[in-house]
Amino acid sequence: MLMRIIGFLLISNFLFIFSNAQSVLIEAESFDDPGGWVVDPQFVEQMGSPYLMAHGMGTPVADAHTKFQLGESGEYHVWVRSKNWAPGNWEAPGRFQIAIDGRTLPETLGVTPGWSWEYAGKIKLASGDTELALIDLTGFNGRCDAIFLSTDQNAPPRESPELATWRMKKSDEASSPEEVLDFDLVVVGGGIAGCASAIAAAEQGLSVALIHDRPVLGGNASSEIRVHTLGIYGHFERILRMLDTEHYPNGSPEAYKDEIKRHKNVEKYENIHLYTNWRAYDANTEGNRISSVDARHTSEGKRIRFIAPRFVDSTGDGWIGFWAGADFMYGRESVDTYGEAYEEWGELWSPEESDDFVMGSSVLWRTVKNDAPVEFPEVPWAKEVAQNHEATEGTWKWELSRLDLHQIDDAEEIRDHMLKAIYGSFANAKDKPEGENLAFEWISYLVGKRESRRLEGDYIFTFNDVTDQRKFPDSVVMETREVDVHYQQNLKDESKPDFLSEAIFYKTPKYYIPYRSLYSKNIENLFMAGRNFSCSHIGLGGPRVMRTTGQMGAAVGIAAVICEKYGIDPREVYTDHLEEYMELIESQKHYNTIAPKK
Amino acid sequence: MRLIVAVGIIILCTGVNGKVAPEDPLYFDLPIKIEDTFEKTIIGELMEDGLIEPISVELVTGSKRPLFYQSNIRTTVCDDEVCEIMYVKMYWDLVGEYVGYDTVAQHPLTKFDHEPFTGKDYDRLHELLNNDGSILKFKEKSELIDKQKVKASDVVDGTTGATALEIKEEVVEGALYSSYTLWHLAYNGAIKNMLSSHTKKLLDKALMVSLLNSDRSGYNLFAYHNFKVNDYSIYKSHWLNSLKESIPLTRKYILKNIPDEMWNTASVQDDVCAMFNFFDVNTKTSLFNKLSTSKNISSKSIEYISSYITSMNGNQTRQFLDIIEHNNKLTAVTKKNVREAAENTEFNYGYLIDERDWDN
Repeated sequence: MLMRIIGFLLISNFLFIFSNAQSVLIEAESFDDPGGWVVDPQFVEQMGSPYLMAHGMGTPVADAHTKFQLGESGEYHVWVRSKNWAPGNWEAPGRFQIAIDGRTLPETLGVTPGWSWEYAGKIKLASGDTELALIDLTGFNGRCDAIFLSTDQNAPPRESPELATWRMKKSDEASSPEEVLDFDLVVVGGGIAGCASAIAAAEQGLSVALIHDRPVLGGNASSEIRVHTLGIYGHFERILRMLDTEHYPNGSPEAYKDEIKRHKNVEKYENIHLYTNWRAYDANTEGNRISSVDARHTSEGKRIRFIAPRFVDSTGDGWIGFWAGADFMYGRESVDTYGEAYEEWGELWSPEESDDFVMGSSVLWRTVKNDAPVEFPEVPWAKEVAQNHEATEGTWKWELSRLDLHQIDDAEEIRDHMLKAIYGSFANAKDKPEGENLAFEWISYLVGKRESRRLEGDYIFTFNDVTDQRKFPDSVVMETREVDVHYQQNLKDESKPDFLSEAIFYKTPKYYIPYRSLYSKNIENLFMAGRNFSCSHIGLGGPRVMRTTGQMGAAVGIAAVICEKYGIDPREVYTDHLEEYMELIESQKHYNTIAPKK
Repeated sequence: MRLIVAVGIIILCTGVNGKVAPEDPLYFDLPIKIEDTFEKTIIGELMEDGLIEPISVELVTGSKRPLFYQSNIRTTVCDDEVCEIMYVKMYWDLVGEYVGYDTVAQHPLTKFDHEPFTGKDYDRLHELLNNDGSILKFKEKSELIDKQKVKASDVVDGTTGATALEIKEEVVEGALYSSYTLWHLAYNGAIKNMLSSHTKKLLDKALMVSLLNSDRSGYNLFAYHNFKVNDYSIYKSHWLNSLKESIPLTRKYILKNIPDEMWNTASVQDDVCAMFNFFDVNTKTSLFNKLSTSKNISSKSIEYISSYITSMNGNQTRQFLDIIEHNNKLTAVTKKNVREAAENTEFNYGYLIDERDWDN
């Protein structure tokens, strides 16, 4: 239900606040001071917005604060959009309260299953400066999407698309972004593939926008997820050494050191225009071409339209292609689709009939042993997942794939399931005498995905290209890493925790990926690099690691240069300019600009 | 002390083809009844790098029934400089899964310093060989010794760079290369394929029934993989039992492969759906996927499942509501169950029912 607009004006220039008559909507991610709460923009496409989360690993985090100006005095009903992320016969783990002008409202929030507007209470407020605070009660991932104050007693709409429409109207948001910028190449996704793509293109003179929805670059290799890079460098050792990691243990804080290196290297290119904390939300098309990509700042709400002749989808989930209408694949193909049998592994490797048992997502974590005992709260809500499993760290085997969970659509539930597994397994370890000094050092709150959408190119890379060690005239990526496909342990043994996986290895000397797997078959100006490249489920098993995806990125960046030079689309690089392209690829050992700089 | 793991004592032969005197293997995990004599037949040989002679694999039969496979193996175990010869006897079940090993007379297993294995070492080796997810799976021989400084907490993505320390935790102490060699024999893909292919050739009704009745999940799955269309009718009680008792992988396979003409029978749907509450989360989704694409769904089946709505997770609830929305033969009991679920404050996803404007 929409509020009647009477004339309550937005006053603050600093907040992502939308006001109408006798009502005000405050987006939590835009708080002046988030305190110990973190901005989580991972699930915008599913639940509608970035949100603040109290990721305290069991210790309540510092309050989040913000100020806004209220136009009119009155009695306001206060609604908070939140979610009980572990509903059951126990107190909700992510409980919090809200305080306005120092007065804490009585209702405890974060207690309703599913995203919804929870009623926090009513309060009399005077017009003018008003202060708002979020008070975490648990440290267990309470979450707040938005706060709505209204003199009307009716709650805002719960579900999309009504909620999205309501939000747009509340914010008086125009249909298109306020700012429009032009580039030679727009790269979306700042993982290793996206960074490599930006560097390769920028070195040859292109003006590149690199859009990334996190504050730091690296994706799965960032300090926020902490997976080390694997694979070989191929033709791009010089570029990839600027971006990759040491072989530290997954989850290690050594990831910070490599992240500093990565940022220094990307930021030194003046023609890479870095947009960290910007999340793309749409791709605009004209026919079969993308004309622009729209992105929104993850906390400030500002929007930019990025125009370019060509785009690189390195989002991992293939969002740009998806929005533009690119053909894509998801799930495991049947064994006969591409003839990808690995006889001794049968259904675990490739099913007789296609299904959605893709490789799962991981959430890494670490503990530390203190000198003295450390208290840890009871976590009954975690035990249904962890059961009796004990652990003090997360490894690559901490992975979730389930038939009822889509790796994109249900990513928040996957993350939350892994959090339950972590808290519960840790609590079990702490119950032992030797565990009393244990404390959490770090838990990622980002989902580390292995597999999601794969955009379809002119060539679909499959297991057969590995077994046959097939060479292509356009082999731009090479790899010696095993094909490494995962399955959930409980498929073979129901007693195993559902959050642990196992790997199947197919060892191989060397294989190659053609350039034709790195551009869309039906969106004429779209490249892809990263796990969303054109491959089968099994084909992804080997080259999904980050030096290999980095090779893809660099290859695509170079192709964009050829495109720019001749004013052509990605396909024509293969059909008309392959020799020049391959020469440029093979010269990448040295910083060698062949194409004219702009 | 050596632990004899065999559930039943098995009598094996050690001589050439034909009937021979029995003896007890060190480790043998198949519950096979004691027989006076077994017969063995060579079914094939395998030669790979590192072997000093082909591995000859034998089928062991009792009362003309195939029981398991075995092989007397003579292989080299080498580190960077020295090679030793190792003698061992290895056992696999009828689908090629490792089930045990034994020493060969006069040739006890030894460590690299020539010290003989202790009882604990033999136990440890069997434990290692029973672990199909061992870290050894991911390693080349050259990676067993990490010349770099070892990090105590090193954890890797199952692909490269495991430290010697990690490996040490899994292998028999002082017998790294023996452990490595034997694990890769126990899980040798070519051997597994050879054995399962041979069993497939032997598959008759008696063997099929035996595999279906077995507690070994690998046997069940192998049987269903080799079902012919009519077998779903012939062995209905077996596959229904497997849906209830077997591993999720087998359940999923069965649900995918029940012939349409059978599945479209109300009684079959009812039999399957009556087991809904026994199913793991993935099997429940497999069943919903099947129901979603079924032209006709028994109203009784829907009713069975509806009594468990409150045990469903969010996506299952959505999927089930989708199914019943497309079904116009809902029973009064189904409607009541859905209504009560919506009103049940203990049910976390009642709001999903409310959102549907459920109107009875």
